[in-house]
Amino acid sequence: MRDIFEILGIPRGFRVDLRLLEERHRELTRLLHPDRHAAGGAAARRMALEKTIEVNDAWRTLKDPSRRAGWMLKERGIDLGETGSHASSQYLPPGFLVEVMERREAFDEVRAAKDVAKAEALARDVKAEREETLEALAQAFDRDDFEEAARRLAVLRYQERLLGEVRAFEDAMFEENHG
Amino acid sequence: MAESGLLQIRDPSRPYGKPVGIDLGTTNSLVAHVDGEGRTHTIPVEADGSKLLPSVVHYLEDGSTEVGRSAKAKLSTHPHETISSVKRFVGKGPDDPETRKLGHYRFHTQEGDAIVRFDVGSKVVSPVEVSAEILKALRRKAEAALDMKVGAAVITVPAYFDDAQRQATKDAGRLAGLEVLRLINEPTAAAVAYGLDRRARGTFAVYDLGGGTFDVSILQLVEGVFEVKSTSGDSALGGDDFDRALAGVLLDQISAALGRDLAADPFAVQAAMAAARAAKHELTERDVADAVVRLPERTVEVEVTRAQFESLIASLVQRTAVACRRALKDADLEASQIDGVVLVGGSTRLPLVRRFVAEIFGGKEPLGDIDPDQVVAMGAAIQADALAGTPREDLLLLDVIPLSLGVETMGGVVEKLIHRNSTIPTSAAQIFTTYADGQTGMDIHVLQGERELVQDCRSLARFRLEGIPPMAANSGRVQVTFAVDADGILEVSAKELTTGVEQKVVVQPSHGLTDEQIEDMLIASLEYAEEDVSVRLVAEARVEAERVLHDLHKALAVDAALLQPGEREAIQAAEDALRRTMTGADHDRINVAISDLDHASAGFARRRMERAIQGALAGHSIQEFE
Repeated sequence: MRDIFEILGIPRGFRVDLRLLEERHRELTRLLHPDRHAAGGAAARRMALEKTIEVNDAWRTLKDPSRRAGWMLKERGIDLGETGSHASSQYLPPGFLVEVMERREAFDEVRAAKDVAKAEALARDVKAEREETLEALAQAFDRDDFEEAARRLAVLRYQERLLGEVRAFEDAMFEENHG
Repeated sequence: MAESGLLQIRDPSRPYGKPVGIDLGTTNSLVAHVDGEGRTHTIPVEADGSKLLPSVVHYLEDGSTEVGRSAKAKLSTHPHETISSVKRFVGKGPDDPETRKLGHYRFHTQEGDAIVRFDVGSKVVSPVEVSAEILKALRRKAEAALDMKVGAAVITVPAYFDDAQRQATKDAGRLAGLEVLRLINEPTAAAVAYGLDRRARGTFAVYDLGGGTFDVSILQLVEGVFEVKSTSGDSALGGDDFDRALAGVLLDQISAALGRDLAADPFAVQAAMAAARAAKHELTERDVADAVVRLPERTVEVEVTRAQFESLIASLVQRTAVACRRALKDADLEASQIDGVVLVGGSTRLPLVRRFVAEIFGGKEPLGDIDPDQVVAMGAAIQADALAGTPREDLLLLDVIPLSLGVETMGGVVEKLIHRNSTIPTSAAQIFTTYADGQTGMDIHVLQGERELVQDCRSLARFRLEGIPPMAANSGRVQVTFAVDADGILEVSAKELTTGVEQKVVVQPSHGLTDEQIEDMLIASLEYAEEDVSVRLVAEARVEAERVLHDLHKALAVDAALLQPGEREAIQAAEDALRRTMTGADHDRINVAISDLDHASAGFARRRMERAIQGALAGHSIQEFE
């Protein structure tokens, strides 16, 4: 597993300076992109492709807080696996599951009623909670408390999955009205 | 340098002749180039100086073709022998809904065939072959107009084209004898033509409604880097559908008046489509138009008002809102955060479409001052010139994959490995485990799309991993890597993890032609029958050899210090061997010698690239790295 922070040349840590990250990505891409090596031989072109893929894949992980945290924990030997997997849900804090079930019920009702306004309100609430989770996650990493970080990441994944489902519902409703 | 009478072009940095940009459109196709002063021009392709070549191919009885306006004129008299809008069928299977739309085609269906084929009388042709005829015509016309050999091109494709459609377009380029430098997305090409011109920066939306496809892309422009944030669209929605909607109404009315069903008559369908198209163009300027349907037996005129036409197409235009909204959401942006909207494609001339776009993007007046028909070809020409002519430091396109890629898992569910709107090139790896004792093979089904179930996604390919050493169940572990290149095309490789053995992956495209089929077509095509195929292959190998040598010498001149002991000698030996084979007439031997030289210099090349990366990361000024 190559170090994604090293690949992009940014300081290691959960709190990433996104502007610096974008700048580094642009700089490296300017250098490595296959289009920059179009006039070269086959080996140079192949190498350019490999390096650009490496930079793009590391960049994608770093950009997204949830993937970034997952990578950092995996590096510490804590593997949460895929979203929704057993490994991920066993880190959910006690009591959170009740909250999960209540939220799900609320969303199921909204979905059945095709109530877009209520879905948007629900998404707003979850987004606010997601911000809190992100800050708590960052603080856990600040303290090198990886067990706590794993718990926060499990919560974050749950919140993002719910947001994804709300988005899919909104998309479907919009499509129904514009199909 | 090896002397060769076969090649007139001696500049190894430009081995394929003049690079051009090609917009291979549903309705019209264009070719453009950048001149010695850096100005971009679309090239006249019709006798009267018109730059739009109608994307219509007419097949004569001897199998030869006419392309463009003269072919379009044959649509009314030879609807089965004349193919228009072929782009709608590129990369599609024979059961695709596209084949069931109102049309004048005679499909050739054969049990088990994976792609659409047309019966044009003298023969049966695939969409790839028809597209290749259009590309060949553009190339010949560009060569005549520029008085130069044209052999390399950037070809544009709708951003929303899937893997099969991209591969088919590339195949068409190859079949037309072109070196396809890159496939680029049409909205991105348009943004290049606009953005470079104005030194623009900010966030832009490109709304591209062409003859048969709709794309919307959100791009961020920073110092010449065109970074696509998201793209969405509908690869089966365009101006053709507007024509068809009106043609359907015309046919209904006339059928009722004449007392016979005209929808099954290819001559009548063709006449109604032509009448609808002409009326649509007139209604862009006027409130009322006469649709003149020239049936073989009589001509019928039907009055159409703009309001009637707009109500006919309103729901089609509405559909574009779905993709616009999705693109904005995927880019995590509100309409108000868009700095400008660029209009591309002939269909954006319709007043209804303009009003609609302004409304979607928060009332911003869209940019349309570069001809929406020409802007894509111009952007492609700029990129072609940068890739194979004059490299430019200030231009870089970073595009995304439009649709997620995944594999079939238990229960017919698709597991996504690469998500839509991931910046390309990119890759993803997945480990598959054997499920039976002594299992030596494994079947993998690759799909593209956003839905969860296999049946709702596009099947791209199936392949079988073979040669897994026999082991107990669950111990055989095969890592399959999916890599998407800068053309947005997927490549699959596999490795057995316990033994480290590379697996042979033979991908059977679900809706495409195999490499062998393309080779056969190349050899069979008229253009190549005239010259000896092997002579051509030798010439191509020599071009590549000169390119590699040129590149290497440039690198050695600057960075000899990075060579390790013995490396220069090994490189020299490989170079000598290559130079010896280059004088011969065996292309296989030349290619082997090229690959030997590549191998001998790989370490040196890697060190140069790594040093450049270190330089950039250390915040040093980026030196030109070639």
